[in-house]
Amino acid sequence: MGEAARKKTYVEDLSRELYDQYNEFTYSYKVDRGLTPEVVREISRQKNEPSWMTEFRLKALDIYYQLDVPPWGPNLDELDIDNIITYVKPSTEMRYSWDEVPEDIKNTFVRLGIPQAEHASLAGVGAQYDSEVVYHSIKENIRKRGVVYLDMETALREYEDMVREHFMTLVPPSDHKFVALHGAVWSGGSFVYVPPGVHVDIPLQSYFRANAPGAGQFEHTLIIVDKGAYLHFIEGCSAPKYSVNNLHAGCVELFVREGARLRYSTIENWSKNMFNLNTKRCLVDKNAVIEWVSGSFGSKVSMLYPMSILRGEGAKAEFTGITFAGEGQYLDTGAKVVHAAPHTTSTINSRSISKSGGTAVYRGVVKFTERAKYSKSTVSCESLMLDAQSRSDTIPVIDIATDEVDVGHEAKIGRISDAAIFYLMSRGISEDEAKAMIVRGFVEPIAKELPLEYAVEMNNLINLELEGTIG
Amino acid sequence: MVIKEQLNELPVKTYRWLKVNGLTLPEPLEIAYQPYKKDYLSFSPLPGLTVRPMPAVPLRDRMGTEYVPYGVSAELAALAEAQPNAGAQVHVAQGVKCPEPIVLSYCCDGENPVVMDHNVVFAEAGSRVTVIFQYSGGEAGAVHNGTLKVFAQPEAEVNIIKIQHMSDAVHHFDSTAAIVGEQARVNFVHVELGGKLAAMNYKAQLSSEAAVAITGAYFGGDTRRLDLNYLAEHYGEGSVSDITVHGALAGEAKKIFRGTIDLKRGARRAKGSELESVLLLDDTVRSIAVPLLLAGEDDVEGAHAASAGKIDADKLHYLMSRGLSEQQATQLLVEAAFQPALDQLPAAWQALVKRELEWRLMQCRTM
Repeated sequence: MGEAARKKTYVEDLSRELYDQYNEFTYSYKVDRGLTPEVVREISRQKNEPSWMTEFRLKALDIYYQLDVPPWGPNLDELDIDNIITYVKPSTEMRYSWDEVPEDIKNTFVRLGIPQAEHASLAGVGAQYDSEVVYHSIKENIRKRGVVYLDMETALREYEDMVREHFMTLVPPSDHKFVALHGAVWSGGSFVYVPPGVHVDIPLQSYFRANAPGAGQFEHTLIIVDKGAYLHFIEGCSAPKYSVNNLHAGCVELFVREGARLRYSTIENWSKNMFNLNTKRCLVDKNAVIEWVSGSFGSKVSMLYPMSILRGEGAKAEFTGITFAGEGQYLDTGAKVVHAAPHTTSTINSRSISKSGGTAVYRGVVKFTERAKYSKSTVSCESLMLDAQSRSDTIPVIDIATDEVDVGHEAKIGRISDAAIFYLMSRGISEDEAKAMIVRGFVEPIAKELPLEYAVEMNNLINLELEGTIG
Repeated sequence: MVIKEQLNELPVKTYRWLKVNGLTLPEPLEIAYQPYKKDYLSFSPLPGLTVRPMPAVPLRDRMGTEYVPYGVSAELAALAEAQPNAGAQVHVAQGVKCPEPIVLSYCCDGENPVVMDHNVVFAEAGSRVTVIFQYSGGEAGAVHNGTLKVFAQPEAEVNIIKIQHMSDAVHHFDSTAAIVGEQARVNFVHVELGGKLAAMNYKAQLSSEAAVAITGAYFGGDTRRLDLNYLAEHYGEGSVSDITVHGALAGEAKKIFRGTIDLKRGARRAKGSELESVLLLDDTVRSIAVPLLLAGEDDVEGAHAASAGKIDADKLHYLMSRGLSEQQATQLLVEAAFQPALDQLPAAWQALVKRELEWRLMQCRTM
């Protein structure tokens, strides 16, 4: 292909108009900036927590002080944790009806389409605004079958034993600095319990919205899908952009019991001043299945590697992820799988697009312990770069401690192929259309796994136009 | 000198709990200078070819080439460069094509327990040369710490073959770097069969239209430890790298493969590919692969693939149904993994590698 034909493809940023509208910052209570045992005690007191939780928080804080910031991955120098407000209580109590949620907060969620989706296609909805959940509901027929879907605070009161048995056992505060921070100042999030054999046909969705500038969001999600049950859980996140940096250090712990199946979908669209340092982990029992669907579009910096621990024979993990890194973004994402039992299977399928100086990193690990005989893993990572200002790195680790395994890992990095465009054009398709087709084709395997409304949104937002030749 | 630095560091670090960012020696290792008193050099004289044993005039200064950090660790490379007890300086004049390989054969024994060879191959524009390195022998406590720097000037072709079949009692460190000029080509073929701990580091810097190919083959049995680190840095447009490493592990052997293709901004139309594949012969082996692909340029093609698995039962069954014993059939399949490297060796060296491989496989299969 000649120099003249080496055109650039321009893909629009995902439009942020919808997400960037913010409300006036009001609150009923917030803690001071910074992190001291007093701040942690105060959060616990505000929430009226049992003393074991207060103790847990203080221990986590101790660990937080001892751990260092990871020396690998994106630069976190701009994250000034000491000046993050760790707890902002919105000026409303938890409500079970949208009509009772204050107008400005309610409108935020209406704009994001949450109540509409709840009405049309969801079995239950949780909505968190800054540090607290402001709305939570579950359809009556689902509740009657014994499904519990509550905000974490209420769950801690009503299902204290179950929460205590599981809370931060899968992701202990000692895991890394930001999860220790989470243990100390966590607030909000959702708790789900699906009893044995119950199949929840339509998804539950929790939406996390950060409105306060310079604040952190630390929601905790705990889901237990009991034997033979099924659940699809959708997590959405967004925040308006402020000039100060915000921090999101959530924690998700998923327990999928024998023969159960959980699909966990995330659409993350934080604003570009957000440090998204999130930790997600799933423990998968015998013949159980975890399916992660993960879309990372927002944030300034993301470090997110959902982990599946396949501890039961025949357990299965599937990860489908797409990352879209635009100007000023450093999205370091991927998946971790530990095969710790025989006949376990994992499939990782990751796609990333980087443009306008954005950096997309796939970082992951597939580990087979000596107990993982007859296990199988397939990893496929593809990265599309749309210009030479951007970066795309692939950093996988494959660690095998037994012999009867079948492991395949493949990665590809490149730009839109001139030959493919040429071919499509020779079939009478315009150049713009050809490029659009190729980019849509590239994200298609992921888009088809997304909840429909998100897939439609993503496709609409990937608008292509030509920018001219490179110099 | 006691070795302190971490070895074979990953160019871009990742999760710490996996302990793959570098190798920390399990126990302190001291390398003391001792003279190496044996002959190791053989070549056919040719006008335009200069071969001098080390220590010789430091070539680096004469060439005015910028110093490129390289090596299993900076410490190990500096040690061999500063105080080599063996090694050679090979210089090939412009346009000279050497028909015969130069052979450097180092063998550790009781009286020469340390080989610290510093080797430099300088190929002027349009020249061609092949250098074969052999490392053998070694009693308990023996150490090989070697360096090789290859400077391939425009359109030169340099072929480097390294056959390491030392005993399982030695420490083996191999620091190799190549600066590959425009349209030049460097081929590395290396076979690793011995060493209690064998740590190899290959680095290549590529100019425009330059090419590097690294073909590796290894076998690890018993409690051997192999630590491989490859880095191809693409600076020039249209540069090409190809890293292909095949191996087999048995017993409680542990191998870590780190391979990085770094497509720098401006390296338009560069292509890098990396393939790692390992045969797992026992359920007590440990195999780790970290294949990195870094891209700061969009107009590139980068690909890596890694695979691991047991010997295919169907293939084994087929061979045994043809009258081969399991041992022979396994041997044949491991040899097949070595084929990409074997294919590039002169016949006599192929035979040596096959013999050594067979012997080593037998040692650990009968345990």
